[in-house]
Amino acid sequence: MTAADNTQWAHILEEQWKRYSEGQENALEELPELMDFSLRVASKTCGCFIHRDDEEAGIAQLALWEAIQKYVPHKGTLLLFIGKVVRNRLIDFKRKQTAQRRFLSGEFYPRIQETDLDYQIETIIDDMARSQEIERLYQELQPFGIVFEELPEYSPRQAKTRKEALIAAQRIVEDRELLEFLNSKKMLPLILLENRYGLNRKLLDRYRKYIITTALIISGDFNCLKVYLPLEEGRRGLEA
Amino acid sequence: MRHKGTVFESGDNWAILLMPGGEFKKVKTKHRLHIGQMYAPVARAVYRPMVAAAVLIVTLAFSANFLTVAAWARLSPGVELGVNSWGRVISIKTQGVQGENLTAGMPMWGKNIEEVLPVLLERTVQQVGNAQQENIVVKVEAQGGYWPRGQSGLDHINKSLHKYNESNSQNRLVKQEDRRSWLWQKYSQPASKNGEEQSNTSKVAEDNDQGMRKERPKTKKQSDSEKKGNNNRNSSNSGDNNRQGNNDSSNSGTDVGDNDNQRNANRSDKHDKNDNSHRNSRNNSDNNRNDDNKGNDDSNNNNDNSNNGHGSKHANKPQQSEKDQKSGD
Repeated sequence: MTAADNTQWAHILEEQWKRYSEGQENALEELPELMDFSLRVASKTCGCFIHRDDEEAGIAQLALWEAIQKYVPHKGTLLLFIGKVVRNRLIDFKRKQTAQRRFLSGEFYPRIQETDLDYQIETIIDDMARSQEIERLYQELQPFGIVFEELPEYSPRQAKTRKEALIAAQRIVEDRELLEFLNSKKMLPLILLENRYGLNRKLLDRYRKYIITTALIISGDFNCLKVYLPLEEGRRGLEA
Repeated sequence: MRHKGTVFESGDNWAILLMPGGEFKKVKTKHRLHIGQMYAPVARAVYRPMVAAAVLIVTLAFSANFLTVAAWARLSPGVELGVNSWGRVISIKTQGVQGENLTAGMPMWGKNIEEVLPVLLERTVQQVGNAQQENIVVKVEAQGGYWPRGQSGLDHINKSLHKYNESNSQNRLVKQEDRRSWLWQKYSQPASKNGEEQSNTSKVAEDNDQGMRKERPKTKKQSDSEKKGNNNRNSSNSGDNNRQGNNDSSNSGTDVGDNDNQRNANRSDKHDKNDNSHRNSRNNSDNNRNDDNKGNDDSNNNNDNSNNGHGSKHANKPQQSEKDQKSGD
């Protein structure tokens, strides 16, 4: 998520909060990302993964609603305030827990991460943006019968092969006929690619799932994921 | 710098990442990751298992080498000490009550033979030597070949015996019988005068010769070579020379009279080349000189010691000795 996307999301959130404060109680329910956000903050604070069933998740949820109730718009952004409240509540909880159990044993508790909260919140928002894109990609890949677990197996290991597979994906995206074929028939246009661009049939067959995934990332609105594909190299390959 | 990838899917201790460069990778993680999180996988250290394997191999090789007996030191009262190539005692075997009494209450395993052997010898003197007034034999044997392991074990034992011999004027190692075994004898009185010391030494040497003859039976090869030597040279000493020469040629040359023997042997070699007819007379004169040093009048016994390492050579080449004789005539 870019800085513009961050600002946009923060803006939407503040608008929804206004509606909530004006009396629309279900206004914030349209933003399920809020709970994800508070969970991420909790996870960063505790330094470990926190499930929705964990005790920390309950505290984070309570802190979220507390922040929404106590938020004053002219003192800063809502996201930062939510982040601060969630973090402080979790730190209080951890201290209390440690004090209670200190006598019993030298049990290890996750260390409280005391890093810059602003930076943490930015990172969390970026992570959430990526997770949304990944979720969307997962939905788009389902008609092709591709799941993420298969991708490491069908991903080319050699950089040279990966570049060739990426060139194939870029050919599909740039050729409207091929892209339509892919989207409509949910298949890779093997014969067309082979005849029209002289691509290796064996490579297309072997890395079919990888080529489809990358083609969908390049053609779709996946700005965070596109960064990971060396598209410039592929473009140079196309020109050559 | 490690490259960070995006987590596409995660489970307990694993995650699928999209790495920069477009590669999908499944990695092991220490904790669960969020989807969309940036994560830099720890590169699997290839060298770690290799280093571990190398360390394991070295450790195993060292322990195997350490626990392998390179040489044995056998003491006559029934104690066998197995020594590894580092000179450490790794095997203790006792036979009979005497042996058990000798080693009782004495932790020896892993200790240096140079520390253990002198103590054992002292104990042997106290327990056996005083009571019976007899020779105590320390037989040193290599296990499974001489070089390099067996030889290093032998060296350690020999060194410890030398050390003991040097430090102890009363009870000392007297005669090296051959490469492998040592004969040790106790003196009841410390030598106060030169004359007494000389007489004691000569007595011991005499005893050693006798003891050696008893202990080492002649092999077939040696007896054959003796016969040939007798036939060719008409010498009454040739058989003894042959046997003694074979034995002493492998000596490490450390005990009393050994240097004299070697000197005599060198001289006799020269005389063999020049004139064989003068050999016996010259040898006898050398032996007499040797005997004078030791204070012993018996020339025949010492003649056995004088022809070290060359009797066998002549015994194997009887025709050459005949030629020498002719040329000398």
